[in-house]
Amino acid sequence: MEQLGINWPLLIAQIFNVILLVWLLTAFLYKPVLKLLNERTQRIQESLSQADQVKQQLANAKRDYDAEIAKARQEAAGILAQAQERAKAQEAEIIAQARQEGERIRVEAREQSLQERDQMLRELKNQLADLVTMTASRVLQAELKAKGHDKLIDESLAELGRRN
Amino acid sequence: MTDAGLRLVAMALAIGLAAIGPGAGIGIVFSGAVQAMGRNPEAEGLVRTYMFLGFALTEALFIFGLVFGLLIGFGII
Amino acid sequence: MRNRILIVLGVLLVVGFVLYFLGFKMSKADLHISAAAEPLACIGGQLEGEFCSADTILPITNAFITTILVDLVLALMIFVGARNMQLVPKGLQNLIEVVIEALYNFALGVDRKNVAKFFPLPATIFIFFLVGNLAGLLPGFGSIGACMPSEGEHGAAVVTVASLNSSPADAIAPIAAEGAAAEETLFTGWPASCADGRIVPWLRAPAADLNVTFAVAIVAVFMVEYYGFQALGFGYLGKFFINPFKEGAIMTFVGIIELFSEIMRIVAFAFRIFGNIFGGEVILVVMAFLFPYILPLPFYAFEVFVSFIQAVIFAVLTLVFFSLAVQEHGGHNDHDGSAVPAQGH
Repeated sequence: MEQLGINWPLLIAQIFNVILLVWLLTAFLYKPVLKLLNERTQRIQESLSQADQVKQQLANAKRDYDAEIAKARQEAAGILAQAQERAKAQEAEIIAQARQEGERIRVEAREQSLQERDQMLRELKNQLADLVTMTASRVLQAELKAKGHDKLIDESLAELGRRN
Repeated sequence: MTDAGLRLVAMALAIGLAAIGPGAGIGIVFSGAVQAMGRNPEAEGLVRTYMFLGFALTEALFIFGLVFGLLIGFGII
Repeated sequence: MRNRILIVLGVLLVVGFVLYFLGFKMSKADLHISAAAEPLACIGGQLEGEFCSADTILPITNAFITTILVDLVLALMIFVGARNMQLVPKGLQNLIEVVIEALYNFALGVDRKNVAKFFPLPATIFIFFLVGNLAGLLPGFGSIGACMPSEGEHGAAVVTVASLNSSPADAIAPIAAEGAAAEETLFTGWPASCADGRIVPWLRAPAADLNVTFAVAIVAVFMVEYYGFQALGFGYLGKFFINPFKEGAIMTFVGIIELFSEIMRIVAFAFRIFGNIFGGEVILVVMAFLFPYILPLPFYAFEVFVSFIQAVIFAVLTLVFFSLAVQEHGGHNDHDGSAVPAQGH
């Protein structure tokens, strides 16, 4: 046994060494490390589930946001369409009004011009009549008294009006 | 041949001859284990357990040879 | 890249050959191989050559010193790496966590139910032997040590590195017919060498000492039996003492063999790792003796692998025996069957 180096006190010392080492490593290495690993696993699981939750929330928020956006867009489109419609209507109205106005102005102008012409004609007629009477009276003087020739003057004036 | 010389020859023979069988045996054990793991990877843990068990039982023979060789060589028996 | 490696190797080989033929090599006297761990001091007795005297209480062998050193290294590692551990790991804590988690997952694969109970001993065995074996491969283990006066029994003065007949001495004293006498006056040896004694290394791989391996094996097998009794009560003995009238005489015989193998497990455990690690050291020394340059390199790499694998095997076998010990007798039959041819020889 001595040649193989087996020595009882040394063997017992080594057994104590092994037991000591097992105790040392168990108490100060395996237990803390395994505890830590478990803790970390739990922590990671928690974090992952939390992340899932957050992701879910985010997805919800995004969906809400998208819905809002879509609604707003729709509304805007509606408003725009309405506004366009109204604008078109207004435009048509304005155009119609303008046309009407234009028509009215034209009619008025025409009427006025007609009236003016009539008046002018009337005045002209009167003047002409006066002028003719005056001229005739001047030419004919005494002979041609106003009475008896009025009829002729009227006829010639009518002829004049017809010619106009 | 002297007694010491005979002892040396005996030691060499004991260790050398004891290594033959377990050498082949350990090869068979591991080849079987590798095949089993290749065919059925799910059972790897179980196969590994029994692989090491078979390895230990096979290796034990060589250890006997080694121990007796050393005992003879150092003149203990 | 590959070319560069080849060139470096080739140059080293050439340099090695030159040095070898100049005499920088191990002499046969340096091949001092001891299966036992050599004592450096003896508590309660005195050193008598290679062994302690009979009244020694506790011999301090080199393997014992290394064991203490490994313990200290592990304690230091715990102190530095695992003292205040953070949830976010950093530095050494990462390494520790990776190793322990890998071991734990492996143990989980072998026995899921009792893993918390079984885990510490195999893990300790693995870590202790891994650190010890790898430390045993460090340069200086087995080559640096105390210079002990050589014993008459061990023949001529065992000289270490200093036995080289170095070239300067050859050049200066070529005339000396006897050589040795003249050389000793001119070149007494390398500094700090052991010219007329035998080196007793201060350090030696723990697994290369049978005391260490037997101690671990005894603890492991004791725990196997303890867990067996704890799980099955006295029914555990039913695995070994089988009623011949109920299950047949062959099973009784198998049970006896099982009992025997249970005891032989200690020897098998102890000698398996001892044989591998000690054998590895011997191979390295012998290769260095044959040709000390480049040649030991592949063997060295192989020994690194063996160091690891033997630590794994010791730990895993302990774990497997644990898990087998707590199983009921019924599920044990296939194991018995395989045990018969192995132990029957």
